[in-house]
Amino acid sequence: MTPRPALIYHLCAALHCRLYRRVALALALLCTLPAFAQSSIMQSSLARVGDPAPSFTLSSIDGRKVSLADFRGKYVVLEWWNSECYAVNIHYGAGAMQAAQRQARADGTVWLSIDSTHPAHPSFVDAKRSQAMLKQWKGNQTALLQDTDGRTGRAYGAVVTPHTYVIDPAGTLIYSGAIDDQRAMRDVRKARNLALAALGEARGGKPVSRPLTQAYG
Amino acid sequence: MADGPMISPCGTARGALARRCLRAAVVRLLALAPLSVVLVLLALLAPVDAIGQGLPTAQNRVQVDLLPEPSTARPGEPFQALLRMLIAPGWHTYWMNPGDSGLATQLQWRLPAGVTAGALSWPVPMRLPVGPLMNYGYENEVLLPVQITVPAGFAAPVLQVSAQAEWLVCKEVCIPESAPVGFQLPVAAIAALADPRVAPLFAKARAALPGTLPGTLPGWTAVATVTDGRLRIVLRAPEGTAAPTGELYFYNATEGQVAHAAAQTVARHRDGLLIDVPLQPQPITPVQRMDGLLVAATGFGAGKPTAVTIGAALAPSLPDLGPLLGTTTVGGATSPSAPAGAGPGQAAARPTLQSPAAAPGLLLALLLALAGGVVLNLMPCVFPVLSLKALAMVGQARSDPRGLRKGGLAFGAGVLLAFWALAGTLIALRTGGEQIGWGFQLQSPPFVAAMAVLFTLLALNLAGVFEIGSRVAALAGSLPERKGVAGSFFGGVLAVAVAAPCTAPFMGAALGYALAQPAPHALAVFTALALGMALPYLLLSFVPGLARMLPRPGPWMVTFRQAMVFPLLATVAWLAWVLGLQAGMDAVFGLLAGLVLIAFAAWLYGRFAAPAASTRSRAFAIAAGLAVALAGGYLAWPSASQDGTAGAQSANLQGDTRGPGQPWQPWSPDRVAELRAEGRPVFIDFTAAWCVTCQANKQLVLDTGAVRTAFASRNVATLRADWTRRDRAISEALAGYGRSGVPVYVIYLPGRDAPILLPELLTRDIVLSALDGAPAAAAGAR
Repeated sequence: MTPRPALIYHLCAALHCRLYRRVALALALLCTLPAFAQSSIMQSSLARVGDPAPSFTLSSIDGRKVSLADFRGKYVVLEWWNSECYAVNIHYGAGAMQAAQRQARADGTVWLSIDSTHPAHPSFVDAKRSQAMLKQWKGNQTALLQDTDGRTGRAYGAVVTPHTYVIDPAGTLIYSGAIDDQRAMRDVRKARNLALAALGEARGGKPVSRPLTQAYG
Repeated sequence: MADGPMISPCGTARGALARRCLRAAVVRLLALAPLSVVLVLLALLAPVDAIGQGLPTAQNRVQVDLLPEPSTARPGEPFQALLRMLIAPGWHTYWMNPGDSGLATQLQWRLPAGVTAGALSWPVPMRLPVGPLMNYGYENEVLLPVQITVPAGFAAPVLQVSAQAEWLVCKEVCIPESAPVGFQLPVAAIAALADPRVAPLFAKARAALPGTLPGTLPGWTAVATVTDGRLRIVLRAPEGTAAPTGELYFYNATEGQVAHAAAQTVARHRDGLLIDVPLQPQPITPVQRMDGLLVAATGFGAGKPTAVTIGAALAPSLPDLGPLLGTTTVGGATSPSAPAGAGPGQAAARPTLQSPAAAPGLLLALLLALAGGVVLNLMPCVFPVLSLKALAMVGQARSDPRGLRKGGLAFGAGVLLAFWALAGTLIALRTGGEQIGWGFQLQSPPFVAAMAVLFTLLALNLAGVFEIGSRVAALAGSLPERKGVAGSFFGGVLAVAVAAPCTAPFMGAALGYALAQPAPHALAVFTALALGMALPYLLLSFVPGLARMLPRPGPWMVTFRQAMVFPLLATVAWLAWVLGLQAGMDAVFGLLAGLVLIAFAAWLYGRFAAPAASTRSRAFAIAAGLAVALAGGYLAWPSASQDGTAGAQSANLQGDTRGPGQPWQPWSPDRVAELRAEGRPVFIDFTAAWCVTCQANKQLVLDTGAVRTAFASRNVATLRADWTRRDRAISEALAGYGRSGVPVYVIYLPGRDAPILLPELLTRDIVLSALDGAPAAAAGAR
């Protein structure tokens, strides 16, 4: 694993936008892309909007144990993360993701970024370098969590980064899908952030008007 | 080389625009005068300027350009344009529903006021499993047609169409890319003219589009319902038609609804197929309709597409399909052995796009056709029939100059009408989407059998087994000129019918041009061909000096007439061979048995129905002869079940691999690309069993020691494309070379992108000097 260069988009040949989750199989390590178990797991979001969000306990990159249950009573945003991904780079490079995080957290929302990249995958980034990356990007998330066995990613049916979810104070999943409404990523700073939109509606006591969108990344 | 520009622009965009503007202004100025027609023809003959001005996007993984189909735009008349995407090896772009990730290619239009562009038409995609995900998209090359409508009152002299093309291209990484595309067309109030240089590309694009159900599949039905988180589609074939037996797969048109990576199950019931498509646990948009693409790996029957769009509101319930016969599953993304993503091994298969061969202008095409028509008279297919015509002229030349002239005109009319009928059929079928070309009728086994019957009857007639009508005119009384004017006319028709297996020099380029053109131009070229063919007889009929140079009539004519029996019978033997390759041994036996009965019928008629015979005898002979002939015809008719097999097809190939020296490999576009990528020179022989010119070249040139040695010593890869039966891939490849019939001989030399096309009639020198890249060969290229 060579050190990753700074954010020069057109040089990011090794960037990786899809989220790969592993199965606890040793043979997976032989492949460049991890091998996967049955596709039945992959029938997209096993976590349904309107149902209780699957619980998890993961390590943050600074070594803390973080559980979803810790945040009962608060709104939680889950943002799937892979710092090698082109789309993630665009959103952080433009400062759009950090701005959304800042805005959400100002209202008391918890923002968790989750990295489900398999350690054997070329786009895996270890805790130390992830910390450096967060520092460089001036990330405003509550924590960056490592889901190295991919279990949480699978439970949520996350397929791309940044696949985004919103959970209400009762622990119910109220939004699943894209980070914003600009799939072509022409100028993500001008895009409408769909997680923030869902949060705004929910906080205002309204039902979320677009609880499900097509995630992109 | 595959990354270079595929159509080299003839000038800068600005220069091209200036010339187009000028031409458009001239055309508009004179649009009301009859002269404008001439000017438009002249404009057509001028070299076509830069097609497709998509900027080179060297840093992109996808090269795009937007190509208009016509070379002029007519207000009020929609036309087609084509977004062509050439995708770097190993990468892919996406279908309208990209699947689990990805993004469909889109165009952000910038159009003049009033001008509108329709939605992109999507060719049939492929499944692209990436890890646990399933994507739908395209590799290598994709052609996306789009309709552009110019309003009736459009006043600008030039139509400027621009768009920003945006797409996501992925391998393991996904990169959003974009590029400006566009073109300019002169606006003219006359009919929009097709641009021959892009015609093959448009043909290819249309061929890749799915059909519709029930549009292209009359009588088929597809209904669907949603139950238990599954979209269940029932597909039923019309009575008497078999349902597709191979793999079936449903591509949902809308993303975020079906579980793309999940396997689909096809249950075969007695009365139909049930396709079970798992939905996502929580579809992003509710599934309210069945809308998508149904792809059958083995197709929906002969001559039918392999993919059709299906669309309908959901039905409350599904019909009863009777007992279950079996199930198959297809399309799951993650089988343990499935390679994840596009491996490097797939990279080599990128087909290089054939730039449309430089097409001749109309005037040149007409001249070529005229010359080709004249030379057609000397080709072996036509010679026996025409020699009989010549014989008749010998008889009349001195005694009956008026009859001679009338006969000449009637013969010419027969040739002309037959060519028009042929052209009409050809154009109509091609408009209907058939991939056919010159000689297409010989790809049909019934036609080959009918020709064999006709030639046998002709031979029996010449041999004196039977006569038609009175015996008085028996001397030159062969079928073609039996009844004066009518006979001459029939002779002309017959000559064209038998000419199909032969392609004279010059004809290839002319016909290739004709069939890429709108119908009036195509008809003009066919007319020139007909005039060329009839020209020698018209000259003989109308120039007295020439007629006097013919030999004097005499007893030698009887001998000649009888001698002609044998070339005709040889033709029958050859036709039987062609039929054998197309439809197998049983069909040949049926034909020969049928010919025996037909010959018997001819003898009955000749022996007992002669004018001198009694009425009873005549009635008996005609009735019995007719019955026997019908039985013979029934036997000779190749049945549909005697469909040629792959084995029969390859016989034409295997027959050629005998002996030492050069082995011929079967042709495929991928094979050509591979061999070229290896840096080997490639020689392609586009041939057909029924193509006499092809067989002659094979025997006299290609299979000779000198040429084989030359191939071997230069390490030339030799490929043979056998067009004996209809073959879409070959037809498309021929169109790519600007041709519509065989023979076509193509040489690719390493380091040279442009193929060398050899003339229809080969000599050793032509082949050898072309292999050496000598200028002599380039002169032969057309």
